[in-house]
Amino acid sequence: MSTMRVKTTLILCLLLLATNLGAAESGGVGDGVYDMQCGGACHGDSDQNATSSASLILTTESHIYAGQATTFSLQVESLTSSPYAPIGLFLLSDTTGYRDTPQDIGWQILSDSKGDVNNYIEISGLTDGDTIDWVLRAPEIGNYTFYASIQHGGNNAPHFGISQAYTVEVLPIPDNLPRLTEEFTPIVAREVGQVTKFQLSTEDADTVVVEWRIDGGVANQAIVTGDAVNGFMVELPTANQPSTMQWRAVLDGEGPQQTSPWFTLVTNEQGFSIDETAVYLQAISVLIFFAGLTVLLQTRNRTNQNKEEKSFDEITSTVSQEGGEL
Amino acid sequence: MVSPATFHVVTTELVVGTFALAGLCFALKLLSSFNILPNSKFDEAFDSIAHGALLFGLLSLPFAILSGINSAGVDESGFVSALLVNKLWLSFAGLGLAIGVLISRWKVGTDIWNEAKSSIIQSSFGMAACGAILLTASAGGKFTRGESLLDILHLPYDLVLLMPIWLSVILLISGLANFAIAIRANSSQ
Repeated sequence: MSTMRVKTTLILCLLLLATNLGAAESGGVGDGVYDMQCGGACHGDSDQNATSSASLILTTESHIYAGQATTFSLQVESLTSSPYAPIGLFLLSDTTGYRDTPQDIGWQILSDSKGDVNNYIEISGLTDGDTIDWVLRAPEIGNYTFYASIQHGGNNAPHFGISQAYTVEVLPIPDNLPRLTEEFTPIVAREVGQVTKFQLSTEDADTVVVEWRIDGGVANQAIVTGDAVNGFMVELPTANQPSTMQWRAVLDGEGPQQTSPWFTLVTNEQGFSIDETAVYLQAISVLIFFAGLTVLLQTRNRTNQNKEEKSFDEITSTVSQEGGEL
Repeated sequence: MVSPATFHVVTTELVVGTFALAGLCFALKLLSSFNILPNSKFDEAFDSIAHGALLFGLLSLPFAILSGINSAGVDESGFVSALLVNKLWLSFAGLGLAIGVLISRWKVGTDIWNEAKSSIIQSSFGMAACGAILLTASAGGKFTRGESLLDILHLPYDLVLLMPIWLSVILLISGLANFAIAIRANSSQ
């Protein structure tokens, strides 16, 4: 009985020793669509984190038409002087930590500040007063609540902070309101040198003007062709280096003029792409070829050597049979 | 759990260390075979160390390759850089050369050093395996830190010489044919 107890204790001790120490992801976890608890790895555990000094100010229009896009701006203030890198920022629909992304309440993220469609983004070099934006499409009529959250490192502890709730009312679309269709999804990323031409799907819009700007600078007009019947084609300038462009559409029709939010379009360096099957096949071929070549060269060399030895032996024996001497 | 990146560092250190030692011993053995090195009392030691180190490096190499593929995220996002492709090819070339050198030594035995031509072949291929692995390591340094000791050579790491699949298949078949011929020749002896 006592042996059994000792064994059990030993097993329990081994199991305890086998557990590893938890640690936050100090380098971040990468952008993504995450619930609050999962972003930044374990920042949600109240026993392990500290409160962030940052104050988060989330703003958007308080009234939005159903199916229309709007900008959620998050301003981060009162960051301590330590340049934490990266800082993780969330846009959330509640603070339960489960199914709390905007998508979970029917909203669609059309673009974030980094040329993607994530509710959690990590930013390095964020300073006091900086603002980041998400553009979201509103779902059905109703009232919706949003929160912003921050996660970062510092003083050997993960820091966590959350904003006040922000309520948005989604209203029915008025008659004849010039607008982008609910199916329209903007391009959020492109490569350097890539021509950016797309169809702007609109409803009740007679004329369209598209404006673009770089990093919040002066707005310029983009080339728009086509008409309300055949659809409007928009061509944005090609970027010759990695940059962030924003563009918006000003729609005119019978109803009141509507201006879309600034959509973010990020230009990245041309990505490297290659046929992986060909790469692996070439690697295996090179392996087999070199291995085979080495073995073959040595074998042939040895065979030739044996032949020479054999013929030398034959000559020797012939000469000795004839009573000669070499 | 140890992350693939950390595991890759450990395994590459093993591979680079052992291959470098093997390469050095192959060079010394070659010099010794041609009586360029005056003292031949280390002859046997050079042979044993070269092949022993190569074998140990060979055992570590698959782990280094797999952990490298994992840590670079190739399994998730593919080859994001030409450097990674060249690293893979160089490491596979080194692996193939090392396998060939070890099989040859196993089949021929110490007689491999008795003749000038076979000594040259064995040492050259052994050193080529070492060179391929050192170049792979250099490319790894370039990939992670942006610089490497071999930067002075201005190697074109960004250039990828991808063969068409049919050419790779021909190379593969010729490699297998080489093996078949070698096995047949060995069995007839």
